[in-house]
Amino acid sequence: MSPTFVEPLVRERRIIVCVGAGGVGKTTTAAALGVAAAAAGRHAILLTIDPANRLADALGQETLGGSPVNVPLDTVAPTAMGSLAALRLDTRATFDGLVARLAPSPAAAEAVRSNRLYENVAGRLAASESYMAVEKLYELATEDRPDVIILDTPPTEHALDFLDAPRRILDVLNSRALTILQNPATLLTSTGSRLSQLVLGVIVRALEQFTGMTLLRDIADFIHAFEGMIDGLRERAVEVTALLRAPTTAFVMVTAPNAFAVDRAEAFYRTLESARVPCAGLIVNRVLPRSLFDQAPTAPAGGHGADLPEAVARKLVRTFADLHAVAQDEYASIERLRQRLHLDGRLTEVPAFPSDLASLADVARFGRLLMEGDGPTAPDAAPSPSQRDDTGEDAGSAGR
Amino acid sequence: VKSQSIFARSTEIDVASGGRYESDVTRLPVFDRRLIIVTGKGGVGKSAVAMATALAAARQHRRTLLVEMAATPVLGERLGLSRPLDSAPRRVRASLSACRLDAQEALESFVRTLVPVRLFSRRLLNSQSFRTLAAAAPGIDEFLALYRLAGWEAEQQTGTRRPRYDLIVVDAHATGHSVPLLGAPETFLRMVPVGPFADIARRLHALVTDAARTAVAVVAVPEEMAVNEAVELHRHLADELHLPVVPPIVNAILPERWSSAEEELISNGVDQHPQWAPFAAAVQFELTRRRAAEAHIARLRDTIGIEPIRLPYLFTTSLTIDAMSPLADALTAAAEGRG
Repeated sequence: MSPTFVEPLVRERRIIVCVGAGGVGKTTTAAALGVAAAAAGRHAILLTIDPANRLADALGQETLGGSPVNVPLDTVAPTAMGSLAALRLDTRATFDGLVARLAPSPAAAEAVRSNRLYENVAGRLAASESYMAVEKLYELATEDRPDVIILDTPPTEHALDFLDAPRRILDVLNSRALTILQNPATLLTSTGSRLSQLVLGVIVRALEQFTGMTLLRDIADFIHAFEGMIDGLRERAVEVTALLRAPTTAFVMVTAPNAFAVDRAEAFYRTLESARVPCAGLIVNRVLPRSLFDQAPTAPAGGHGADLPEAVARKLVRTFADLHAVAQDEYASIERLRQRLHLDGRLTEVPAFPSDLASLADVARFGRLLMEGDGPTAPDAAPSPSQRDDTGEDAGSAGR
Repeated sequence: VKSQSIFARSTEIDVASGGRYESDVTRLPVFDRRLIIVTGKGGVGKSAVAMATALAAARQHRRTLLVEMAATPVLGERLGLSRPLDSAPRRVRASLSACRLDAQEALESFVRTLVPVRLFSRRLLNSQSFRTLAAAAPGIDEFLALYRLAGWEAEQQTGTRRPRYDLIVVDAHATGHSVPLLGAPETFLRMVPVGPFADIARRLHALVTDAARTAVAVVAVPEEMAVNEAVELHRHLADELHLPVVPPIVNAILPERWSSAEEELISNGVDQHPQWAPFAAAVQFELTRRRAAEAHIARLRDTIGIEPIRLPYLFTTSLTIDAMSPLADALTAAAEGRG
């Protein structure tokens, strides 16, 4: 098998971001890429976000903490000159660290941390998780400086939630919002007659009463506490965004092979494309093995007496047909995706293992399949004339 | 637990015994409730289970509303409608309607109840600053989503005191977002303990924790990670949020086709007749998967101490509601204690 599109990414890129809907094996894929990178001689850090400790399971580690822990690879890649360290995102601790780093004084940091809203923003807001994921990525890239960081992303509904997170949080904390809280009437109208200003002012006061004044005051306090940090946060957000869009960063999309997942992957991919975040390629996980279901063998007629009774033979045929139908639907969905997105060789399949990935050895095997390929290679590597420029661009820099 | 300082528990789940039900745990007593929230890890078939639940209830002539919460609407097509679902419930078939719960729409409808003058409410909603604030106020999306659900629950048929819907089935977000959704009233009350909003939050909390009206169903597939997440989610919802969680639903279980005698016959028969080898390989693949699945189902059962509801794997590429019929049958059987 010739190397997949994944192989040069794992060898050359500084950051690989795994994106995709939940439940498609994103975390396992990220882990497999980490092991593959180490086996290829690189010093890799694997950052996972998921609160369910899934990666720890896949790596056979009981717990995975907020700082990198070395994954011993001597059993699966004894000749590896590289290394793999893994950690799990601790959203709250990362946020605390960011506050401590950027606050003008320890007292200012304390003012933020003791605010009632801080807990909700730092620990619960869905966007915070994505924000802290990229913040942690930035920390690792600038401080630990491994050869490559593999990032598993939180499940998001929209493809761009992840990329937008810093901006969304900053919008919340910016000084314009502060002005609004000092004079809530500006919420409703920036222009307009004095009369409408007055009426609206009354409504806002009613609203304030209704929500309970404390919420508005709390938000004001909270934003005020953040005031001294806004510039620092903003600068950092710019740098983080630049890092995510750097040519040394690759986005890899992971999907399951069924028609439903494939349709979602297509939408996801197009959203990234329209935001000018080119996706280096697609990994389709858990494909029913082509070695078993690519062909439909003709069933021998009838049974074989006592050797293989008629009823058993019929059930054999039925079992094969059941699985074959599902497999063929998967293959067709994958082919449709490959063509619609002009992916050619930038799509690779990993076959479904009959049993779970139970050990690090399984994860390593998964990693080898990602690097070396399994399913059929692209029909033809030459890009078709219809292939659009923006897809070609990243395929080129993905480097062969 | 923080929440206990705010609420008295109103659930029938005996948390002290480790989240086990004291009542009959083998049944899925859901069709007589008002609100069923279907959640679980991404990709486990939440929509399939939600559709099957709605289908089963509609077959029993319970007027059912199926609510889609995903950001990317897909249910409309799967229900055989010509366009995606929106916030207005639409009739799908006898006893079954469907709609979509959209955060933005929920926010708008809420603001309109506060600011009944349309001109002003529209201005408020259109201002960027207000949107920013709404995004900043933690849990506001989830709070409003629940508020909207409670609104449908309370809706009555015109001119009667009968509820418009006997049952509301929610195809909820995946784990990461459904926990904030179901915990929203608590989160909100911690921030704003008094005032009219707090009263609403308390009402919502009463609804979602009331085992007579609400059921939360955690869906899993029989795979390691999905089961891990189901265990964690089940415990979190039952023990920390004190929600009426029903037995977990394990979806996509491969059929048990072979007796051990038959398995032996196959391996011997194939030795004699190698032309059967590709068929036997497929059987072996399915058997291996099935065994792994059974181990995960057993682990789920043993860890939370509740027998899961089992749904069959569908060898179909169709995702329509009618294709979910075998799942509806299995759910009905489970609800009647035949599962």
